[in-house]
Amino acid sequence: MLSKLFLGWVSAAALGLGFDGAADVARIREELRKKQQDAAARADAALTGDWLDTLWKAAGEAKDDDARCAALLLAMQVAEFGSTDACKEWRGKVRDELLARYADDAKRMGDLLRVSFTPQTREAVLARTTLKSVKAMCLWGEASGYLATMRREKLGEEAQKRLDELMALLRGEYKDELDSKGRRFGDVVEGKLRQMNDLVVGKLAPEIDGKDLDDAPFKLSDYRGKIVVLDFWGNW
Amino acid sequence: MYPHERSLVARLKDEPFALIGINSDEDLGKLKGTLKEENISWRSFWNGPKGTSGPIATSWGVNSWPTIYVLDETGTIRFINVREQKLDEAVDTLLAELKAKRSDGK
Repeated sequence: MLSKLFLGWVSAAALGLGFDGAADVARIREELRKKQQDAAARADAALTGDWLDTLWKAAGEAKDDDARCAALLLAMQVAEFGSTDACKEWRGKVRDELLARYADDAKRMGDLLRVSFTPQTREAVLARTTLKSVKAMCLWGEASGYLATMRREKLGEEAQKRLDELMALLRGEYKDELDSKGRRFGDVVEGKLRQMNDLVVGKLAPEIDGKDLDDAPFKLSDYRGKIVVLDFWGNW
Repeated sequence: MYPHERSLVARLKDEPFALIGINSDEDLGKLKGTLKEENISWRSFWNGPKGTSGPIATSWGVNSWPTIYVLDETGTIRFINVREQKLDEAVDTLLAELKAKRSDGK
C-alpha cells in the first residue's frame, strides 16, 4: 500500500508536475527505495518486537525437544512473517538449528515445511535429511508451487519439465511415502493428474463405486439418464 | 450452501435430476444429526473415516471444498465449480437440452 502511494506520486511527478531531469528521477527512486526499506524495518519491528530474541533464548533453555521445537518453529513463523534482512538472517539461523537437531525427524520436518514453504527451506531440508518420507514432502512442496502457478498462467518450458519430473518421482520412487494427511503420494499425484487431464468439461466422469451414509452401496452410473450435480461437501 | 441445495432439489423434484454428494466428514454419527437438522435429503457417498483425505476425494484430486461437477445424462462433465445462480442456470440448460433431445427422438 505504502509503496503504491509512493510510486503513484513519483509517476505523477515525472509525468506532468514540472520535473524532467533524469537525475531527479534516479535520486527520488533511490530515496523511495530507502524509505520503503525503513518502513519495512519499522513495520517488522513493530510487529515482531523482541519476539525472535525471546524465542531463541527459550529454545536454548528448553528442557526437552518438544519445548525446543515449539520455540524454534514459532521463531521460524515470526521470521517468515518479516521482510527485512534481519528476518532473513533469523530464518537461516533458526532453520540451521532445526536441521542440525531434527533433519531425520519426519514429524518435525513436516512441521518446519508447513511454517516455511520457501525454496530455501525446501532445498536445505532436502540436502540434510536422509528420510525418504521427508524428501517426498520437499518434492511435493516444489510440485505444489508449480501447480498453484498453473492455475493462474501456463508454465514455462523449464518449469513444466521440472513439474513432470517431480510428478514422475512422486508416483514412482516415492509413491508409498505418506503426506502430512496420511495419503500415499502416489495416490495424491494420480488424483491430481487425473483432475488436470481427465476431469475436464467434455470428458466422461469416472465411475464412483461406494457406499452412502447408511452404508448402502451405490454407483454414480446408477444415475445415467439424469442431470447430476456432484457435490464434494462436508459439514465443517 | 444447504439452503440453496435444498431449494434446487425441491424445485427439480419431478425432473430427471439428482444431487449427489461426496461427503468428507470423519464422524458419521455427528453428521447424521446435521442431516436431520438441515433437512438434507439427497444421497451422498461417504469419503470414509479419513475425512477430506479419503479415497474418493483423493482420486478426484479434490483439495478445496465444496468442489462441484455438473454432469449431463450421459455422465459427461459439462460444468465445473459453478455456484449459486450459475449452478441453477447450468442445470436448467442441461435439462432443457435433455428435453429437446427426447422430444426429437419421439
